[in-house]
Amino acid sequence: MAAYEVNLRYFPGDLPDSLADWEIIAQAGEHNLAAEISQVENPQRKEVAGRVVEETLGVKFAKISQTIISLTGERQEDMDAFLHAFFRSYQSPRASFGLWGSNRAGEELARQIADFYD
Amino acid sequence: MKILGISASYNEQGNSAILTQQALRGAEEAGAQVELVRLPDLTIDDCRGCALCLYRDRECFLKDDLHFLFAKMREADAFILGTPCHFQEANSMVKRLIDRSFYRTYIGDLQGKAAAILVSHSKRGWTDRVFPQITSWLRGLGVHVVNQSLFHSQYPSEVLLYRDQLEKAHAMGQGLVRALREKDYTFQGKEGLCPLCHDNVIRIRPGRGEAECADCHIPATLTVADDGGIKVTFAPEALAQDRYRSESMARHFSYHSKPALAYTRATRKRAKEGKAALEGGFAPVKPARPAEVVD
Repeated sequence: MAAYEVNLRYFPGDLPDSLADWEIIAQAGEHNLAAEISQVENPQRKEVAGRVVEETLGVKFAKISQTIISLTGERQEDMDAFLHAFFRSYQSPRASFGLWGSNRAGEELARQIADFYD
Repeated sequence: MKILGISASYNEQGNSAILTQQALRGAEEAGAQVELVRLPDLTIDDCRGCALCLYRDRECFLKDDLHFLFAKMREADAFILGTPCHFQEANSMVKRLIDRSFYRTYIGDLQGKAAAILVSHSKRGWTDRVFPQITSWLRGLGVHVVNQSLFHSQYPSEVLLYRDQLEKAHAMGQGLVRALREKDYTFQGKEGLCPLCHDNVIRIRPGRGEAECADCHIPATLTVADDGGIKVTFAPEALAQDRYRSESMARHFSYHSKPALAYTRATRKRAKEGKAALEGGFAPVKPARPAEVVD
């Protein structure tokens, strides 16, 4: 178990479509972090006010459409540097549950850096 | 064609109340059926922030006049909102209305309507947040803001001195009818920097050194113009990043709001661990009510 485990959960529209998984993995590697990217696609939809939307109410996080960037590393400065670079270039997860699945040390660090960019 | 005037002034002869009446008159003369509601006549409670409206997909449980107002807004094709600006923003009744509009923003039943905003203010330079506040609310509801204007005057009814202001309000009502009739929601007011909200508030994103519209969050480029002034440019493709677009609002509710309920459940155990922070809480001081006063 790594000292810092951070899950960044980005939902559809949160990140640019042009951002490729390999770019994230390479960027994490430059900061001595291991990264895994996983995608979840939930086909459940409903119509609200003429808009077809994904129904997420009462759905477990794991089932909601999202991109999960799972980062692990041993050193705070590595995680800190990566998250600064990533949040500066894109954005931090928009909701508090966007860090769900992180360990306590990773979550606290990611939250502080996200606060910095608010 | 129905237009609803919403007056937020306590004073029936206050400046924004008079201006709202003028705009309604203009709309009526242009052929609209008009109706007026005064927010001070309504009892609208504070939003409790429970989000039950979203989680249970139903109207707010508070039984007050908000439901009457929203029914009137649904019946109308457009709104004329008149409010005084006491300190940088709309008055407290409008703020309360904005807070209580969360569910409307979600279900989108006011989408496609149009609005004009008239703001009376007493000090020039003290209105910075009033339009971003009101237009973001209306844009979040999917309402086309076709006009917005400040009206400067200091004492109640002072606007009666200024024929140009009365005529302007009148013309705003007529312009709203024209927009509805022609289905042309092109902004008729004073253009601001942002092509979407028409305001001039640009912020530099913390830690990123990039500029954006402070309200719409669309990125901007700042350059020094030939005359030495700052030039703000919004790339046409950046407009797609408008957070008040219908698709963006839908995503906001699906992905950033609704899952909070599952998060609450998932973190219940951990939240209990933190309950020690609630121990020894301070009892709030309250004013003595007449019955409690002991001589």
